[in-house]
Amino acid sequence: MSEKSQKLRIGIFIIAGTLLMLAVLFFLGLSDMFVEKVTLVTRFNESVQGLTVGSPVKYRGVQVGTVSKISIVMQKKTVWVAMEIEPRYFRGVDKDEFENAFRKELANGLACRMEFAGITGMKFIDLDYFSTANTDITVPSNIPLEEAIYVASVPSAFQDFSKAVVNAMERLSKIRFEEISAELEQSIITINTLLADPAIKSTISKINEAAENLESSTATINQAINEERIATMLDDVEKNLKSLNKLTSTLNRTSAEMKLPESSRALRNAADSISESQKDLTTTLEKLNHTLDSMKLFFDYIEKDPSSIIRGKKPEKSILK
Amino acid sequence: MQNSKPEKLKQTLTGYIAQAVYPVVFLGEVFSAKPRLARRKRELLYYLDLCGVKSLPVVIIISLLMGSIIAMQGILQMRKVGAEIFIVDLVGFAVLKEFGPLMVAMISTGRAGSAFAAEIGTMKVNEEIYALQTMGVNPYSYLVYPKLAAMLVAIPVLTVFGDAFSILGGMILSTSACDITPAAYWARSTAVLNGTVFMLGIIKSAVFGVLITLAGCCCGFSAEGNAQGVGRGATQAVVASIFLVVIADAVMTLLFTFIGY
Amino acid sequence: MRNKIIEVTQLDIGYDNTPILCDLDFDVYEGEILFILGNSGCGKSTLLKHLTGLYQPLRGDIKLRNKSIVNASGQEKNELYKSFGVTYQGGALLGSLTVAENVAFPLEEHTSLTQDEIDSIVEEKLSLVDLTGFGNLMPSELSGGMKKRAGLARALALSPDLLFFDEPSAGLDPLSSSALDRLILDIRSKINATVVVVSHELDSIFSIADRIIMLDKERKGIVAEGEPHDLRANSSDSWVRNFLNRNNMR
Repeated sequence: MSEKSQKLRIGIFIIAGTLLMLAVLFFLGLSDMFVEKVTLVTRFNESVQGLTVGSPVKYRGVQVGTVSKISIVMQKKTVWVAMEIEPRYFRGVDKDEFENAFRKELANGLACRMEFAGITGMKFIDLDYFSTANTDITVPSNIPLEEAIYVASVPSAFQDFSKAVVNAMERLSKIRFEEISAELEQSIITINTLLADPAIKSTISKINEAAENLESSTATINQAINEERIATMLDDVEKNLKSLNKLTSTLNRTSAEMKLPESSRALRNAADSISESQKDLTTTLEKLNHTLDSMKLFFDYIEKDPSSIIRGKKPEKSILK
Repeated sequence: MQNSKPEKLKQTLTGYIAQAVYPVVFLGEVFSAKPRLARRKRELLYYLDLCGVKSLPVVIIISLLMGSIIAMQGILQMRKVGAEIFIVDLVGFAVLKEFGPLMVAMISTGRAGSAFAAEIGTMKVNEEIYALQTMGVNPYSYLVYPKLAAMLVAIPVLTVFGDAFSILGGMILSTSACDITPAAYWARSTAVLNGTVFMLGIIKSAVFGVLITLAGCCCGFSAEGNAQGVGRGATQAVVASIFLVVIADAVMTLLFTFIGY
Repeated sequence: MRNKIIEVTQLDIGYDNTPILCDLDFDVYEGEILFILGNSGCGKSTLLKHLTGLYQPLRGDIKLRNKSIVNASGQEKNELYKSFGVTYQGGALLGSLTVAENVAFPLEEHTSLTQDEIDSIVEEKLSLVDLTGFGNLMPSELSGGMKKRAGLARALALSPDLLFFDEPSAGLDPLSSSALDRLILDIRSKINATVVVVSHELDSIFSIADRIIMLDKERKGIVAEGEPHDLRANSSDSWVRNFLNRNNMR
């Protein structure tokens, strides 16, 4: 009895284990063995950084296969990439039909291009109809895989973009920001010293003083003139109305022409506005100085970490905190 | 009779050398013996039962726990960078490549390796080994091959169970402790793991099975002929098995890394 | 002159190049019951293991029916093993098999008999040692004496005409011991076997031994050879006489 149950146990054990093993194998990729595949091959004249064996191959955004092999031709600096795609993703065609249809599509301008799969730098191959007209769709003679279908490759958008960025960066790096900023700083310092020169200060204060004196004396003169004239006028009214009249008109004319208090105020205003604009100038120069500093910082940063121009500034706090 | 000192030293040395060389002698004895497994169905079944079926419950429990422990530790670390989905990769690869085969090997060392040593040691004490010899039966063939064959079947099968239940444990824990759904876990598992990694783990476990059996039997055969000797033999078997398993694991991991896995 | 079954010539035995018995020369004749006796630790069990081919001697030769067991290859040794049976002190039954399976084991290993034939032989051998009905028990369920008898049944399975016994009466009460002695005589008369016994049980020696060989630890060799009663009475060696007279002195 015990022998029978022992045999039963062992039988169940081995059968269950074998079934489990087959199930695991099936789900972990043995299932791939039974799937029909078509091999495509393409070549890139650019870096395939971020593309690895197993990277997805997409047709209009649908993953239809994976990269199966990457090899380099040293002399021509080209990279051959082989891909395996599964016709089962295309409805209602078997392998041969698919190959024919696919070749037809290639003639219609189907090509492939590397694209970023996300922000991590991983790439995938996109099969699509790209508008780039000058794609060379002639099949090269030296395809590394005999039975593979050759797909023309289009330079990646990333390649253009990165070229533009590189150019911009090169130009930027040619500007001698440091010298410019140093010169600017120098001029500001000169202006500052100039303005801080005691001679100018005293000149301005003397102008102020003179203006004040002028004002007070003008006031006195005004006063004096008025009283004197009135007295004289009163004296002369009777004596010589004519001459008084004459004198008065002359005096009036003269005093109207003089306008002394107004002139002095205007002079003071002018002095004030000179000092005001000096302040303004200082602030402006300070601001300019500041701007130049942060520009310098920014370019230093870019120099250290060029990818930040795309990715943005790193968060300041440690991500692990 | 009193031996002179150099004589004694010579004897001690030859004793040590004999002890050190014994495993080699043992291997020679085993591989020069005829397996004759067809005659040993009963023994084969007995050891399959002992090392396989009866180890299954403990393998399942330990694997479930092991899988969830790895997942737990993974969650604690991955959460900081918001990459919880990579727990699937962590659990999957750690289990298929290392923990599955290793845990099963450790359990089998405790269950089978020590049992083999104790069994053979006791047979030695009871003169059963001599009895086998004088019955014209090669004790190495009779005692080692059924165990070897049973272990070669039982350990890989146990590893399959161990792998599956470890991943299940990881799945249970990470779906309950994180936002990962079972479907996402499953999809990620089938996407990142592959059959080759799994099969290499199984091959590893088969090698471990051979090592555990040979270490257990060798320690049994070299055990001294008394109760304490049998005890020491069993302990020695466990220590030697773990040592050999870890060394073999390191070597195989290195080899598999060279071929790209 | 009777046929020599075993010829031992110039045999040195020992462990690790240290001889414990030197220059042994004796023969065992067909149909006799020979007892090998000696004081504890003199190497009589070791001598038995040499006679049965388990140990390699340091020097000398042992011939079983004119075939050297010392120089035999693995295959020749296996052939020789089929021609004799050995009963060990504790029976040495395989613990994982039942009593019947133990007895059947040599038959399964060395013959191509059918299961029915094997079963009937097992039944016969078990009845010979008075263990009928115990076949389905495990060795751990048997008493010491029963284990020895089961071991004897197994030794008899291939019907050998040469039997070795290692301490058959050790650990047995006098009644079981004398029953075993009778069993040995019985078997000898039934199958006309030659029997070599290692023992120092004097009762057994005087009741069933045809001839004895006495070993001494101190002198590392055979000190006396002959008929037990004769040696007890007439040996020139006082140690031999004292050894054989222990019972009388008690």
